[in-house]
Amino acid sequence: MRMVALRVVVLLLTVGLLVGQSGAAPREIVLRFPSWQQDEPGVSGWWKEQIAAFERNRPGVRIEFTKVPLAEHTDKLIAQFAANQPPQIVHIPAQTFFPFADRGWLEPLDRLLDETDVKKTYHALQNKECVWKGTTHCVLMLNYGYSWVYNEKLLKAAGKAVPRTPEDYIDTVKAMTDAKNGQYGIGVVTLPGFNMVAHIAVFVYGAGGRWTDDRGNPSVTTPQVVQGFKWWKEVVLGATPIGQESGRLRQLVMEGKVASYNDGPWMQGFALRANPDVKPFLRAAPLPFKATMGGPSNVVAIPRAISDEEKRLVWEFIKSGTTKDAQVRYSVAVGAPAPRQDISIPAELRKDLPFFDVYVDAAKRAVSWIPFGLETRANEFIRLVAEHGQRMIVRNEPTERVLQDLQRELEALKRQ
Amino acid sequence: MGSRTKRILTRALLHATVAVVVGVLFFPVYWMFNTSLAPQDQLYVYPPRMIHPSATLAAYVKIFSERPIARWMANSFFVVVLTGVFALTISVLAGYSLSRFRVRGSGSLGYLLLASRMLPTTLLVIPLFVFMSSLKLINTLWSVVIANVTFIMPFATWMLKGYFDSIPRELEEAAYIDGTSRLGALIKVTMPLAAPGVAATTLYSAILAWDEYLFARTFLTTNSVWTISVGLGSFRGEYITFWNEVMAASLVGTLPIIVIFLLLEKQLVGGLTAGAVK
Amino acid sequence: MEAPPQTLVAPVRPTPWSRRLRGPSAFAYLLLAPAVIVFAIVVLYPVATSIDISFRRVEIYSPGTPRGPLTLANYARLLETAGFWQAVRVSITYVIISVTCALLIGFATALLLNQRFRGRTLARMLTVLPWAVPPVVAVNIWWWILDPAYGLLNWVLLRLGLVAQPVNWITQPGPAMAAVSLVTIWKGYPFFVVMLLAGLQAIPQDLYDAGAVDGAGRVAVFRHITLPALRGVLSLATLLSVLWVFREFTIIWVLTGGGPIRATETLAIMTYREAFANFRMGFAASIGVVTLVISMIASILFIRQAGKEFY
Repeated sequence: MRMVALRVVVLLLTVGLLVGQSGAAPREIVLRFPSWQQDEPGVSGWWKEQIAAFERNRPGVRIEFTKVPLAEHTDKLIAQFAANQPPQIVHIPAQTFFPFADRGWLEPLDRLLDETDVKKTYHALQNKECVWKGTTHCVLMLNYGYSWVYNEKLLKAAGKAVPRTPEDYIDTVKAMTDAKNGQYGIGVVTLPGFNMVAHIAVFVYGAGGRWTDDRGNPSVTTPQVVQGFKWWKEVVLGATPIGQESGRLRQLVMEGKVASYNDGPWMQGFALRANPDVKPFLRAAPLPFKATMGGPSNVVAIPRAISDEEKRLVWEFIKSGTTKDAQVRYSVAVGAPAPRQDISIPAELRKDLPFFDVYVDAAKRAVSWIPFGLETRANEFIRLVAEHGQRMIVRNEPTERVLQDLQRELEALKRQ
Repeated sequence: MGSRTKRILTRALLHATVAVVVGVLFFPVYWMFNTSLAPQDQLYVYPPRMIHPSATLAAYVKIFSERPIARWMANSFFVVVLTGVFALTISVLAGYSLSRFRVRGSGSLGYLLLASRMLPTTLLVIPLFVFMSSLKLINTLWSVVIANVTFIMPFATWMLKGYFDSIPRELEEAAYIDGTSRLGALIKVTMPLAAPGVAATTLYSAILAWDEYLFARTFLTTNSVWTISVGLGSFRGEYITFWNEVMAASLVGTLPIIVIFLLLEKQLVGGLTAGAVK
Repeated sequence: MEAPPQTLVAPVRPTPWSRRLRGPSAFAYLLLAPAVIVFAIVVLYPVATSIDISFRRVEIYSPGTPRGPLTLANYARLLETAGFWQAVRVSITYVIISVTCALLIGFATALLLNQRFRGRTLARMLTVLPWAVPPVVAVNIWWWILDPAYGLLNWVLLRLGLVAQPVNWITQPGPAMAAVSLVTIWKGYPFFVVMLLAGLQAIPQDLYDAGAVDGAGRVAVFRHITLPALRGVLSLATLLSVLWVFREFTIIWVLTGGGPIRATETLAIMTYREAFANFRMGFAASIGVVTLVISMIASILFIRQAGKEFY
């Protein structure tokens, strides 16, 4: 009896240990690469190609490409840096690059970049947004502008045309809404997080507002910002299913339940996967606002806390994505121009990307929504804006008053 | 109305009430099962289908091919086994000692273990995170095993003390007279009698360790080392999430627990109330 | 035994070590040693560290770095932060709603299951099952049922005419509190069922027989026999549930993350958010310490009140 119990325990232990250890083969270098893009249609395919090519030439080196939801990504990454165990490949939205750079967690890249033509051939944002206190700490993956992706069938059914003014835009998305039957005019993220604030920024920057003024002080009580929030609130309350996140909203667009969506070029990849009865009707149009929200999208960096050999390998991986060939493929995968400027995308590669030209144009006009002056507190900034935005739509508090509170909170954040 | 009719009516009423109550309380579990079988185009349909005429296992196939569910289950299994072995070994010894001997300090230790139930886990997780970082254990399953011991060991010790209390000491004393050592008496005499209690405590611990989310979420950052709890809590993803897949994964992640529960419900319930009801 | 009884002046010598190591108390300590050591390392030391950093200005605490002087700044800030008092209110509301409802549902179900009928074992199994459902899974299930646009609950409420438009369960403060409480109640009532059912079955039949002889009605039997007999179990189950709900993290974190606008941000959630989202670990620790003190005071008061019932 006792022997049997003992054997069972020993067996379970062995199985458990084997299962636990089976992940890591001996003498293998594993480069961890957590990213929200791991399952993003389009761009994930490009990453996987790059990884496969990299691993082919380097036996014994493996890149572990894993998925982390964007909403959790920055917090989890900070925790790993705090624990002194960062992933070897740091991939972050440009908005949250600064907290990492400011804490001295990222390797300076100028010496390495000077051996390449990146500084010369990349979009000007590379030498602006990746530089912190005079030193370059990241490589730009993408710069972008938002567009309005819509379902033409639903637009026609509502008796509307592509809007040309903000007022027209608001009327149109409202006209396409029939909440009783589960039909909505637009998907807007209203769950707190990065995407909720990005969606607010579409309207705030569209109205000509800025989070901060030229000296980096919070400026969320200006008439433009107030106007932007008012537009956003009207759209949210009149035309969107509240309480949904980007994943489900995009999916509802693909199913024809939501008629339009404001998004960056990656929306192209999703649109290609839409239901057969919806796909032919999806179009992209420029946002009908004064300014187009966008700027640097995401960047890659190397942590200081890893070994020199790992740093070298990560750099080789990053560098392999900056070549002309890789950048052409990247443009096709993302559906928008890659940051490298001295390339052109052959027409035959563009023909499957119906939104491409709209996004080329959007990226040119885009205004960066990074809150300069508060950039090192990006994660708290996003949390504060989302929380105050919720007060407007949830408690229906007057926009001006909420923004005065937000202004005070942001000023306190800056002082810290 | 005859008393017989009245009795039948009362019976019928009782059965109807039970059916309604059980139906309502159990419904969410059924709904998980039902949705997991729904074809994708039937998810957002009004009125919701109580039974899907075209039920499909497609969601199950998809979650296993698209997400590392099997890996997460294996990780949870590893955590459960090690937590169980580690915490239970310590707890059996301590529970026996608290039950049988009154030595200086044992009372305070007992209270301390009991009081640790009041400790906010969100407070404990901060220094444990720092502790695991300095041991380079972040992102390894060992960190979760160690952290799980913090709440499983105190409760298991108390639960086992309750079981040992219910086993008469006279049996051990008889063994001493026969010349058996103390440890020998514990192993040969008491343990076989306490086996059902130890089993119940082990299963209870296994369920707690399987369900644990806070420590695992904080310490395990890469999804290849996640436990099933963290994996199932991550469906608030960014891209495409279908409810039938979320429900299928949830059901798969609950299945081991449901199996343990259905097979051993009586013992588990006994374990829950051990010591509390006299 | 070793000291001759006639030696009156003999000093009271402590038992020699050699002897103690062989005696019963040595065995007792030996068995306790692993528990004590592990408990000290994984619980006491971390708690001491938490208390220590709650008195220091620490953002991201890492071992080996200088910690700075002791300060009351975190506690001072706590008392003047509106968010803290809001979290205290939310915690209290959440505990009261969840425990009361779980208790009522659990009690009613236990009384029902205490009747004799065919299929009782199955009924008990199905009603207690939610206890075993992992919290994350419970959240996923309810999240789907509560989905504002396509969830089942809104459909039922609309059909019954109880609401005019879909309720945004997760994004409205009141409904969000209802939603987290609902999941907590669903996970929490089986504990009451199990405890009270055991308590009910422990009531000797003689008591009921005596009641029947006195001609007491059902209500009177319940009030004068059942309820008094269950008081001990009831208060213990309530205390344990209160402590459990007060510390609850998973359900709220996964369902609402403490939102909207901190409407479901309890002290536990606030502690975690400050530590692992805002990375102000010293401040977070001070919230946690206050939470601990509140739990301890509540337990002591409760035990003093109900203490006699236990033993």
